Amino acid sequence: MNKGIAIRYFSLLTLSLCTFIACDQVSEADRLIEIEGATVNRAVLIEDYTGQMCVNCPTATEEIHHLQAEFGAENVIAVGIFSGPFGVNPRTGANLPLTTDTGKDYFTHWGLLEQPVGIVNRHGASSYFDWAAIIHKELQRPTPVSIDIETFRLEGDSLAMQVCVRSAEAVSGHLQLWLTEDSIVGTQYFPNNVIDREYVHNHVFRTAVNGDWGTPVSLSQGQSVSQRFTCRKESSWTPGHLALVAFVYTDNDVLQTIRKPLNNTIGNE
Amino acid sequence: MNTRLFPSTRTLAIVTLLVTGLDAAAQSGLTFSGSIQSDILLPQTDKTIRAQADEDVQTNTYVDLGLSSRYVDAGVRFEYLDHPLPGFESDFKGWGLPYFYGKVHLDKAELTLGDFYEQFGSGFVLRTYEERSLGIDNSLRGARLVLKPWQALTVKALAGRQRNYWKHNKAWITGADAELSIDQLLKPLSQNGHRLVFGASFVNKHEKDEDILIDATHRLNLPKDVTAMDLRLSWQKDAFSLLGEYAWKSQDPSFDNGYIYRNGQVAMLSASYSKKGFSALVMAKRSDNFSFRSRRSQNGTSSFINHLPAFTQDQTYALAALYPYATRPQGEWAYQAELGYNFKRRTPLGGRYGMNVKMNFSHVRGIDVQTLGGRGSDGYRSSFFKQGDETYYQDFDIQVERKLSKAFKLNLMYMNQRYNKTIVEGEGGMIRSNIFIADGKYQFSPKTTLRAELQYLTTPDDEGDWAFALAELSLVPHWMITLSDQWNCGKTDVHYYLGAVTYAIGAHRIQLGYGRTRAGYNCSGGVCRYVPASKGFTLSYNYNF
Repeated sequence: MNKGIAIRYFSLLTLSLCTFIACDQVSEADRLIEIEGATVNRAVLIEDYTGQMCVNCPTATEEIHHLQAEFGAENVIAVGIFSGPFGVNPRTGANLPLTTDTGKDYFTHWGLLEQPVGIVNRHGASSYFDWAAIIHKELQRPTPVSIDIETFRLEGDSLAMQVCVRSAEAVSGHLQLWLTEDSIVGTQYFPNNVIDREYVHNHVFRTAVNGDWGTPVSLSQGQSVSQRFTCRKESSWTPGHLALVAFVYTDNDVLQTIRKPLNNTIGNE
Repeated sequence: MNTRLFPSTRTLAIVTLLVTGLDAAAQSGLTFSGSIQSDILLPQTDKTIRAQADEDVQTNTYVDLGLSSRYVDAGVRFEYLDHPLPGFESDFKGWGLPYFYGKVHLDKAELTLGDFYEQFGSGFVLRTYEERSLGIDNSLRGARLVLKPWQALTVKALAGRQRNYWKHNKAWITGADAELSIDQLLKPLSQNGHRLVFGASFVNKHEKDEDILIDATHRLNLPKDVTAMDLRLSWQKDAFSLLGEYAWKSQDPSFDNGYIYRNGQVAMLSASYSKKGFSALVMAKRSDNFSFRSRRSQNGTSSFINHLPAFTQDQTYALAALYPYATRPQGEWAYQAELGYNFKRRTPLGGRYGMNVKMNFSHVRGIDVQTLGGRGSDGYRSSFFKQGDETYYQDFDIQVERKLSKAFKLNLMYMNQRYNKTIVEGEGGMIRSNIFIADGKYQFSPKTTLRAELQYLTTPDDEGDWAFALAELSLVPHWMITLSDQWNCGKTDVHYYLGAVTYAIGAHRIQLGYGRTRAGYNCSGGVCRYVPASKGFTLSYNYNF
């Protein structure tokens, strides 16, 4: 064997490898590409499956706030569904204060295994890094459906709401009404063993007003339907922080979403 | 949802031709081999441990078939994972023929077409492998060429796309590796007993662009080619050996690193001494932003191109393995030292039959991080030799193995452990524990052996103390009966009992069991996944032919 040839071949190979090393490095000035702003044709729903013991979940919440600031809070409607393994006491399995059995059922139904995770317009699970791109695309998709929350008010110990759904085309799906609450002060875990016991939770899922999976709705072209719903106000809820999220969904899409806060105890017509 | 991954018609034709060709070449010596592995669970609901029975039967079943001859090999694997055992990612579900290959091997060259596994060096830039218990199979589908033009030189080249459960990621992976035995070129080295090997590797991932927005009007300019290279030098003489390895990765914004543009690097140094009766090993490794996947937006356990070895010892005893550490590709300093000594028999410390003592120390902590920014930035600065503030994991253990009589052997172990549960699992703080283990084996007769383990873990943290007991009766050559119980005597008072009967005959092995399995967390890349508790009957069958 000729060791000179072997060394030459090896050196050539190693040098060849080295020539590939510095490829495709993006300088700091070139890292952002400008794109056209989204033309808003619909609002977008983010179901944020979160938990009070989930240390990475506040990062997902920050992302939601960032997206609402970028795209408009009326266009990006988030619901924080406290659920999953980080929504329960790891020793006893008991629900943590913000977790609901309905939220846990949703978590199981979608086959979710990790947190934080979100579902945007019911197009499958996605991580918070992907939400901006998904929302940018979803906002621009035209939809025939519009929703109007005509009334949403407190009547004694009950909450009453009148919701109207219109469609420019024949559509068949479900109307879902969720109650959310803002400004709930409670515990939240953070990385590095930090526990914030005065964390302010927003858009927290409280209950599904018209059943876990909503009410069937079927509209012909140009038709509208208005329905009245009520639900009992729990004593732990603060009326001034409540909001109603209404959306129409099909098997794998959310056609339209709207959110309206409850502003006073008499009504907000 | 059923998901299948069948090879294309053309590929099936190639495999069929190969098999037919092998049949025709029977005079060269055709060997047929394979294996069947099937693990089945009949789950039951158990409110105490929160185990649910969502399905009647759950199984992970694998059938491997292979044909080999003097010059040509071929193989295929069937997997049935449509109702998998608990704790696997949702994309794991499916069934089909996800793995097949044809290989031509000559004296100095080998060509593989189809699916293959490969590792370059220590795996820093490329390691594709299968680990069924973790649901990992990141094989490449494409072509691999191995050349050995001279005894001193081995060269590999490969190209392919990586398996991601029941599909293949769109990115193309190309790579090359060369290893040169310098001692074969410089005769004085080999003549004096030195072995010196130099290796160099290169891997490139080509992935098309995608939209990662940072605000309503800007998206990231993502590098479509990510390159990783590895250099290593190993030296061995007599009982001493040294290995130094360094790997570097170009900009690779991904879910794992928060879409930053910092380059990645890994450096490792290890030294060992091994002679009859005595061994010592010290290793140090620093990794920095070195998660390398074939899909930048992937999370969970899938699609890793590389693998960073853990510098913590794999523990087989139940309580020593209760809090296992998972390597963090984002960045860590890791150290490990091992010492082993065999006291000869008929010496004061060795006693009549001899005594073996092993010690191990592992320590893992974070690297220095000075944050610069988020998505689109360089992420952070990090001084190479500066350590981070946080300990991720530490353990020290000492094991003593001694035969006390002709029939009785005893193994004692003490372990002190610190496990940062928040870092690894997302919550829980630092778990500090002391673990005591006694493992005795008594041979009643050449065909009858009884092994018993007693373990105790004491900790003021997490769920408190645990106790574990196991008895295993072997009736050679066919039977084994095992009973065990893991009891949380600290806080929950829950028993995780298990009983199993195993029968082995020839190449067949079948095990029937019943009991409870504890729940836990599996964390990777900033997202933690819950592995649920389970209870029920288990049936395992293995056959190798």
